[in-house]
Amino acid sequence: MSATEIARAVRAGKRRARDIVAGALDRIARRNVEVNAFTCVLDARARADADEIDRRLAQGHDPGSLAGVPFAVKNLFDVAGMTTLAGSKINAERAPAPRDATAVARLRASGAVLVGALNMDEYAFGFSTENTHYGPTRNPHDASRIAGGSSGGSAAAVAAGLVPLTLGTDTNGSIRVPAALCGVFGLKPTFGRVSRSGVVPLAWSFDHVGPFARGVGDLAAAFDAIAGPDPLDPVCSTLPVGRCVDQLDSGIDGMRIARLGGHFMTLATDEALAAVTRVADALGARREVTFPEVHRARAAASVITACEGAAVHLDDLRSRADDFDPMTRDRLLAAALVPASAYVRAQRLRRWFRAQVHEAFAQADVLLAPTTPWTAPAIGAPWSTRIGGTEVVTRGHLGVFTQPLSFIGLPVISVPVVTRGSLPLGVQIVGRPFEEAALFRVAARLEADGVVSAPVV
Amino acid sequence: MPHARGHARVEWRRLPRSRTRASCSVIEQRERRCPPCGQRSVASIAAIGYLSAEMSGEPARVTDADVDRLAAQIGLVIAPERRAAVAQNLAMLLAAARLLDELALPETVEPAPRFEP
Repeated sequence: MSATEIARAVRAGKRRARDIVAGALDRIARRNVEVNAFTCVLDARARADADEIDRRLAQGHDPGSLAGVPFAVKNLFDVAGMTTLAGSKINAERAPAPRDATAVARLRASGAVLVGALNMDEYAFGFSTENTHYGPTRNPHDASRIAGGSSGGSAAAVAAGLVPLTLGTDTNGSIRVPAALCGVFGLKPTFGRVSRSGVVPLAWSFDHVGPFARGVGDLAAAFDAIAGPDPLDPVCSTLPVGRCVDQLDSGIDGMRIARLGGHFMTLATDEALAAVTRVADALGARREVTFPEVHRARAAASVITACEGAAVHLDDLRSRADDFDPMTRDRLLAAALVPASAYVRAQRLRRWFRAQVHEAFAQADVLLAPTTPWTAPAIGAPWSTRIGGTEVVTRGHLGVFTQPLSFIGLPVISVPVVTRGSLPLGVQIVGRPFEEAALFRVAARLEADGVVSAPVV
Repeated sequence: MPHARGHARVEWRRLPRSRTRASCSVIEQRERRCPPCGQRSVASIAAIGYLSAEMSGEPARVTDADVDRLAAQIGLVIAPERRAAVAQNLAMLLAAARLLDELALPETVEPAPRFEP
């Protein structure tokens, strides 16, 4: 059942939240051994929360728009009474969080039931969820392959049907990359649209919170529940939020949709580019729009992420570098040595690039681009890969098409394109800042036409 | 076997066919290892760079001594066995920084961080 169907059935009294949650816990118990998506399952607490939903319904209260929907969150989010691991061994020594992260609290206030925390790259600094401390999360489509990262557990849990909704974070592609590789829908909202309060930072300039789901309606329902102002997050926007679930049937008439060219059509496999063509053809998008200096935007995003990430963890890098995951340690140590001039230059380029992209949006309302350059690599894949005569860093290159967009905070939905017999790929639907509703309208059209889908695997 | 001035030699090794992805025919996967010690190669910085073909100019090069000197300035101690990998990662970041230097920005463009009191 989708999240929307669950909530409808529970609110109508046709299903008990207790039974829905028990079903999710049973699926997790059976399949998580294979997928390794969960690092913690809140069995007793989830059952108690479900009972409370049923009790409120019985008393005639409205339990919320997501009543009884089981969900889970990347273990980067604070959950009251639990230690926030952030994928690390170091943070496992910390005290339990005193309160839920804002996004977690908002989902729970909508009636959704938290069932556990999910695996990730240490400190969200990676694209593969090959976590040395907690083991790799395995792609439900092929257990020998990565789920993508850093929100790999969030994508895999949804793809495997363990829960219908999860939350993740995206700094350079950490929602969109795993969504694409696991064949599910993922939303990276506009920077500042969803509160990051109670979420361990990777890079303050780019960190975003967003949902994963197997359908556009569920994705919109989750976004509607978590979006909006929050004084606890200094970059959270005070702009009003419109409900996206009400706009899913609005269609795309009059919407100018174009494909991103240049950088977004190079250094990718034919099948990744073909996925974009398939979506563009379905939408009648024949025009092409280019952004200038995209490779430099990506370089700047890398420099800013590295510098801010190293700043977050500098004390631990000084005192206990041995306790970091080897997959992240050497990169964070190197990042601590980057000169300040490079960081400032990168921030200046961010402002310049934003202006260029806003000009480009005069030509189109919504843009299309590949999410990743290829399907999920093998767990333990070599460090570098050759594509089209060019050698690239295997894991880092997964973000080649996502980094330049989160660099300036644009909203993006990654929609899953699955071809029979092949691993999934994703296509990014990109919009103007704070125009998530337009992305949902496009995604809903693609889903209704059968171009994109995310069946349980 | 010690590496001359901290730079390992480069060896290219094509992976067995079974480890390449059949669905990605244009991709060849390769692995660089320093033959004496098996660590990833510092010299590979020159060949890969951060953004590969998109880079222009000379790629950054970082020695073990560079790593030690810079780390000491901020109170970091890099274990000897990690210097090569740290140097490699720093070279990639410096190559990215060089890419930014190559683009002349108008003086009116200020940094982007947002602070609204």
